[in-house]
Amino acid sequence: MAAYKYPMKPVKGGLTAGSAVKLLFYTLVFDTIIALFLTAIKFGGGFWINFFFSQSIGLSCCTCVMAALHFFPGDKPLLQAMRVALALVIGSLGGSFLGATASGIGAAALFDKHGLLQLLTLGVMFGSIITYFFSSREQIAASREQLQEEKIKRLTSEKKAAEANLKQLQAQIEPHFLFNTLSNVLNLLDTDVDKGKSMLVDFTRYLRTSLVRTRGRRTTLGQELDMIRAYLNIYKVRMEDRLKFSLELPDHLKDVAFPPMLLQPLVENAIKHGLEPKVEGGEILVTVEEENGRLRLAVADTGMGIRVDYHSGLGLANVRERLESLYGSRARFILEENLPCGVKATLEVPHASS
Amino acid sequence: MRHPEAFIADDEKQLRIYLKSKLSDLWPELVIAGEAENGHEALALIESRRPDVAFLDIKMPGLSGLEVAKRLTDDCIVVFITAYDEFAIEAFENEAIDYLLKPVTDERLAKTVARLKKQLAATPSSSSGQLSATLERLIANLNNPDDPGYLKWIKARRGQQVQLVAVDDVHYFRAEDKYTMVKTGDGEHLIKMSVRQLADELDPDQFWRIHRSTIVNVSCVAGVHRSFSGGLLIKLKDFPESLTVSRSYAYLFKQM
Repeated sequence: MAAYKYPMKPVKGGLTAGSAVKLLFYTLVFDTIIALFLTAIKFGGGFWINFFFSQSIGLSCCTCVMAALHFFPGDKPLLQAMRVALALVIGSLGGSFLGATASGIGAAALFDKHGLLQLLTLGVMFGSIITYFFSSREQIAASREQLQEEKIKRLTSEKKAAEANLKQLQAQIEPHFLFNTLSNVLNLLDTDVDKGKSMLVDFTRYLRTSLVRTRGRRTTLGQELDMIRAYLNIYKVRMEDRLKFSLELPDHLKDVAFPPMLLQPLVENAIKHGLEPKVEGGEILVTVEEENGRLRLAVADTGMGIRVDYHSGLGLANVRERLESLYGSRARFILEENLPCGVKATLEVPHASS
Repeated sequence: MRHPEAFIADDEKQLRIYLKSKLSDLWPELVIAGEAENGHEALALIESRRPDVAFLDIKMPGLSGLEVAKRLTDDCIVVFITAYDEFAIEAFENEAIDYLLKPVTDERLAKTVARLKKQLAATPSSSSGQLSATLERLIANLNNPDDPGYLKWIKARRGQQVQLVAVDDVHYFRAEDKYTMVKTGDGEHLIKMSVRQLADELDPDQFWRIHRSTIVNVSCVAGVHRSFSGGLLIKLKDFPESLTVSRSYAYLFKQM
């Protein structure tokens, strides 16, 4: 893309060869128009004299502006504008001088006839018009491109969201989890009926919330934490002393709406990759806090930690994609080592209803 | 006659109790010689107690049931237990390795018991060579199901904390003195790993080296253009800055 965008936008990455040729072409066309205009208002000499002067002043301005943009590619719009103005002054003076000398009229005669100020005014005025014309063309092209880019971005994020949903649906109820839980219940019916019943209740709660959230209905933080509690209760029966957990949700945040399938995968992940593979087990701490209009949800475990040699994706790509499609750049997802061991995953999202 | 002895390894207590009670119903003479709740314990106890049969849960902390079976020097018959492992079950079927699915049903367990009795009555066979090759393959599969082996996470230190940055989030890497700067949407991190090392470890389809000191995430590239002086410049999405492509890497952007 061409980079000649004075004065609205700073130039980025220097002037390209393509835009330089374009600029040169427009300058030639405009100079001709200016010559016609000056002849029409009976300024200067005849058409050819005016044409000659227009071209020499115009091309000189054009060269100076291009040189200014190329050799001083700055970022501040005001500075850029000043550079272009200076380039136009130098360009019109230089062009007038060259034109006068080359045409044989002589610089002294030219300055005598029109005066320095008049020549400068003409040069800077027409130069500004051309520069402005060119930069607004760029501007229009840029905004059209931006519109297109935004459209592509929107479609891509919609597609990603749909894909993430599908993946979540597929991974919804992990077969290992399902069959191991059922095995446990089956045994508990023989050995400890009450425990078996409560495990079934937790499992039902987990399943019901899972099914509701797959339909994409909005859930509240309270519901989300209830489901996580049910899930961890089931694991508590299975892992016994190897699992300790606590959930901390302040009362005033219980009814806050929160999208499903964001916090739950982090907890499942902490179990699956952190605590279940660890011989001595460990602890999971889920916390929800609100601060300065932002919600911070954290899942910390004291499990195996990230094994870099393992190169695992950890199945968190879904969470990141979903976060991106729901909140764009307004959300943050931080994964860090929990001290002394394990992983801490933190979600930070804007808290709308504060 | 000596009673046959069995060993049970499963990290979940309820499931050990369940299998024990089922076995005592279906095979009263069988003695449970021991139990373990993780792989290391299972391996040590089986080696010392030398049971005739070992029921091994595949998914256990420490060592998986497959790894325990592979390391066993003893001639004991192994029955694997799993809740759900499509690929393992397929392999077991092909190699005639016995396995049980959770929840274990009476009919299925009865079949296994009948088969085990028959095997124990016959002279011990040695098909362990074949078995270990299958196990090797399954273990590799279990450890990293679909892992191409590229770097996925960058460990970046920030003060006392170590943050984990997903490489997908990285826009580009650039060498800075003896560190490498990792640029993400959120900001910059410094890591010790060199650009050259990174180039070896990152997925080459996703990360392109464009300069001796720069690696860019291809999905963050908005476009490439030629500068006035003839060099190639990469414009990034959502970022004002451009990255320079050195001459030796310009071929990456030749038109298709």
